[in-house]
Amino acid sequence: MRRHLKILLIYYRASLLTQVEYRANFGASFALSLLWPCWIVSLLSVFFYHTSSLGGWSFNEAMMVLGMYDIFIGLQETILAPNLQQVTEHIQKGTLDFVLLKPANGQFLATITSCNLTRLFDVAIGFGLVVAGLYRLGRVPSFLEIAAFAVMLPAGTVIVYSIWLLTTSMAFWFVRIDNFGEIFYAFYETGRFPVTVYQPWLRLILTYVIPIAFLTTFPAATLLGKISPQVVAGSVGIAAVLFYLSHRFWNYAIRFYSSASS
Amino acid sequence: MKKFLAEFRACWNLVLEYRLQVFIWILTIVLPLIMLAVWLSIAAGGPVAGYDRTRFIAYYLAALIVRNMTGMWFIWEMDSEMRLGALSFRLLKPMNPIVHYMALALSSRPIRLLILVPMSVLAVAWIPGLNWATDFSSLLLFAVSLVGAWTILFLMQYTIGLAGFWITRTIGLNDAWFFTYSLTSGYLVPLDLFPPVVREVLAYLPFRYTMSFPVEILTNRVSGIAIFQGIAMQWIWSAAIYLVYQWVWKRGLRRYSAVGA
Repeated sequence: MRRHLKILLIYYRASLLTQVEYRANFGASFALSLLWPCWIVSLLSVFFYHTSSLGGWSFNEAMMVLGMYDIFIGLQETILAPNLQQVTEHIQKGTLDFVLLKPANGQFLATITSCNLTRLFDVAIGFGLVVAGLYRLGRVPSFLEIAAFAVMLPAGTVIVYSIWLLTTSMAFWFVRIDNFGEIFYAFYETGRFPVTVYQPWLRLILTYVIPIAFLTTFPAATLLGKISPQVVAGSVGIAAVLFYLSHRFWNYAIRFYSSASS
Repeated sequence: MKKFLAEFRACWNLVLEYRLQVFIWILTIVLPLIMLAVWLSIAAGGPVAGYDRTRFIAYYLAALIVRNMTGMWFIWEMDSEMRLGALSFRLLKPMNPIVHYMALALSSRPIRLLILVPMSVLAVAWIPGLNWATDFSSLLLFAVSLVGAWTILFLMQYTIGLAGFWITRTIGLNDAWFFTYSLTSGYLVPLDLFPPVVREVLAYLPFRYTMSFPVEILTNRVSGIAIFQGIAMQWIWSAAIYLVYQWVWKRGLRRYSAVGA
């Protein structure tokens, strides 16, 4: 475990060093990260120009859901998407051997070691929106609520990671995988708004099949004191099950890998 | 024209090769559908600014059709070609690179039409109260308005792509453009739902004519002289952006050859 952490640190430092070299790009990423929240908050304002509640959520509460969306999109773009692209490229070119040969867990090396740190801005802005929502509501979450939130955040990260790993593993059969990532984004888009706003059938899918609700709606609801302990436990359970399944699937899929040299 | 046709055929082959990708692009035009879902939930409590549930559905389905016939993503390819220097080879060919990108931006239309036309017929047949224009003259004007919308969008996108002469990544600039387009064109929110002041301003900007205006024709929301005014606005804007394009192209080319020599 400690060895893996050390490896991770070395990889991330290398990524950071290459990225700060392109200073203009770094600045532009930051500016864009600021742009998108403005965009989505304007959309939200249009809804609230005509209504006072979105599926039972007020403007400030819905803003917190948007914040959660930004946090997870930031995490995905920081550590998941870059690796997905890299693994796909390795598979296409048959060079995954170089990764698998290294003396550490193959799944670990292939799926989390590269990162795009510029997108951490999104995570920061997401937290900003969440705090802004709470501040405007004049609400201070209790210690228990914050603790539950602190559990749901890593659980959500594991859920997203597992879904990405499932889609990435499919690259062993379908070489042009980048499209599968797009499909996940399509579902993830629904996470911008509270899940209660959608039609019942869609709400069911987003809770139990592709658990987007556990990423954005439920953590925000936790801070608002609107959630039961069962949901927190459920989020941990779903994360564990998905992680196990995706790990098994990766190990199964890798057997279908045909290297360039063999 | 012959050059264009040859390029078109080449790009068309590329599209067929990745038809799965095209299908998925169609599939991933999701955000408008999510907006529709949210509006439907709001409209369950009564019409919103005159929009009841059927009218929302009619609007967003029409918007999806317009988006599919006018949406283009060639700027990604342009960005990488300019950065990696592939543009130099294009410049050696005896034609303006704009022809290639025009072909690229048009090449997926036939396959999209093949999917969209039956889908629209089914929508009109199955969804009661859709109230889309079905008479020949309206559909003809709708097609004309699509050409205008496409032209404005293409010239805008191409000019943004040409900014690559000065900056290394044009994708960021394109994101800022999409930000404005998606909010002000009617792609994500029907313009009728904006406050009146905002609506008045938007009537003068080009974005309305790339999305909302064709949708209005298809959904029978605009008629008579207003249609011709809208089409005129489309071509006034196209001409204006074309002038900007020419200016940027000349300046950029001079700069490019200065660096390359």
